Amino acid sequence: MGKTMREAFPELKSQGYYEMVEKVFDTGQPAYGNEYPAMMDRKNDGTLEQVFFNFVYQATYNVYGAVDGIAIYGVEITDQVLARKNAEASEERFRSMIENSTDAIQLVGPEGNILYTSASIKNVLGYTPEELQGLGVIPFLHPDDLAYFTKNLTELLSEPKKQITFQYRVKHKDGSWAWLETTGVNHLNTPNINALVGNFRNITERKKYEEELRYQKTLLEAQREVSPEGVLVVSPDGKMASYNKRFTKMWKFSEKLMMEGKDELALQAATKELENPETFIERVIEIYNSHKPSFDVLHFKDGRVFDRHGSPIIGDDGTDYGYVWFFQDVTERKRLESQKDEFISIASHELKTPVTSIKSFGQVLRVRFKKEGNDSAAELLGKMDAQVNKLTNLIGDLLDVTKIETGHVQHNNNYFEFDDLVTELVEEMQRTTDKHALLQKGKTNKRIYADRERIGQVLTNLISNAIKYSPHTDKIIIHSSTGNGNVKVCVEDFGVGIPKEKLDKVFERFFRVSGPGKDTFPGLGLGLYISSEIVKRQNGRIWVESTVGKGSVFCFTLPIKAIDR
Amino acid sequence: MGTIKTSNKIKKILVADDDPDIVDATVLILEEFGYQVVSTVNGATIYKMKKDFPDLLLLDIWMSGQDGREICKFLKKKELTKNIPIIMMSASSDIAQSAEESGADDFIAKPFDMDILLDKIAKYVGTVD
Repeated sequence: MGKTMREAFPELKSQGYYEMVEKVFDTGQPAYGNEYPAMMDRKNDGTLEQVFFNFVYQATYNVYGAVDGIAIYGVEITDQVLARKNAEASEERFRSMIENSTDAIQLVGPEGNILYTSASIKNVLGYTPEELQGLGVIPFLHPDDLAYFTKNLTELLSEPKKQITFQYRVKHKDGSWAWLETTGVNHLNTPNINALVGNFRNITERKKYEEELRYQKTLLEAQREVSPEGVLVVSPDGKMASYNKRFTKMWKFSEKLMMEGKDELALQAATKELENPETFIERVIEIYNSHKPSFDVLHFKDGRVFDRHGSPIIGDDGTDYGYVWFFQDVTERKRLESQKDEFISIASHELKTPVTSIKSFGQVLRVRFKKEGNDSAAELLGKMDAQVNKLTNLIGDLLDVTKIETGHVQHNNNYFEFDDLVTELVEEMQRTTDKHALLQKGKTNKRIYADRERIGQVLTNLISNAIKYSPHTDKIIIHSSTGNGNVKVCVEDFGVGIPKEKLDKVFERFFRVSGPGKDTFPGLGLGLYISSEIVKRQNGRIWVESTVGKGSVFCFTLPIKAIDR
Repeated sequence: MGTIKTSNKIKKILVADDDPDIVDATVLILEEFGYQVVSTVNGATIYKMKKDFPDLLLLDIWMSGQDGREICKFLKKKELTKNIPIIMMSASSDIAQSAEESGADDFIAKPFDMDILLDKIAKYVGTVD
């Protein structure tokens, strides 16, 4: 007491109090404060606290009617204010949660009219709460879901506090049908609520994904079942995750085995059916570890043959989903293949028999005409003989191709003088042409271990091609040499040549070169294919260099040292 | 059929093939070049052969009902016939192997060239003229 206000409460400076007092003093008008905030040092230790006051500043007058003082009636209400502010903040937070949620809350009265909708309904269905206030729920429902909705509603109404979650479609503000998932709670009898409380969530996107997933699953199932092959998917932990009926049938697996679903047990059961059980298991383990596609042929004890294709299932992100197997029963195909092979073998044998007679009769006749001095008749029979040879070669080619394709080519390897073979064949081929001179250059002086007859067939093919494809030139050179442990023969012609873009195709089946202009050359296009297959199987190499209009050089090498297979 | 025909020439060659046309053609060639030729289209007659053995046998592999390879093995086992040169002939491409396996002296693939046939025969029994 006895201090000025500024001295007693220095911390109130610039909080408006002094100014308020001075104003009351000057004007005589009272000032009121309601929850007026102040920062005060109530403990006199220099720390300021937030406090709130309700107060009245009332001027007092002296007898002359002049203001001589101010009566202050003040109540500190700090605790009440803070408590209220806390409650307000909490409610605000709660409201904000509801209003901004992706879920919406609705209160529906016992008559089905909407009592309250949270503002977040805008996020869920596009409406504002005001638009829905007082309306009924039913008109918004998808007609197909009406019965389902009513059934759930009836159940919800059946007892207090009952809670149900269900899904149905309602009209979105934009006109589309939105899928809602609603959890409804019956609070009709709960004091202060007295309504059905619904919590909605828009699950249209989820439904779309679910539908897409269902579609993909159905599609996959249909494809799996319609497949003419047996299908099995094994998960990374060794479970038979998916398979079709054909798979179970093909492998004759029991229902019990499939129910257990263990790949390991299926593999064990399979070994009992197979001809090579040990290699079967080993190979499967190798494939699983490799995470690579695979192809195998499985032979069964009962004579069946399966083609087995496999592939790892790896997700975009590298996730390992296991391994998928396809099994195709090729027993019938194999049987037909071997039937075809047998047929071709018999057919070519049968074709050769009359050819043998024709050739023999022709040759005897030729000898007789020659003896009689009828040279022109003898010459005609010589030409006939050459044609018979061509026919024989065609039959031989057809048979060879069949054998190559079925892997039945037999090689009868023996040691022989390579140069002798070349000389022998060059002389033989020279007899077939009057037009070309076959020049032999170089020597190998090597004895090699190979199939003399098959190698002879290759050289014959190369020389006869050289003759055939150089109709307008008269020279063919056969070069022999050695190098890198190989013997090498090149047949060089100066004929039509082969276009660059076709060079890599000449050793393919049915390939034929067409000459300049519209020249075509007869033949099946099998000779070089057969030759390259023979050379490959004899561990050699065959290739060609060529320029259109200048001619071609066909070469092949064979190892001098025996590599017997 | 089933008998061995004989013609009056010097070296005697037996031609055995189940196809009579092949037999005709082969006999024609061999007779043309002066050989004495006997022939059969039935493999069984060779098994029954007791005397008048040929100087050379030209033997087909696929004899109807008989396997030329078995005939060859049979003859090569028997003391009386083991020295008769046997040239196997066949239109099958595995003839080289068949000839080797059954112990034949030589082989010739059908259709054969007359000169090659005559060369091979001459190698074992000489030429006639």
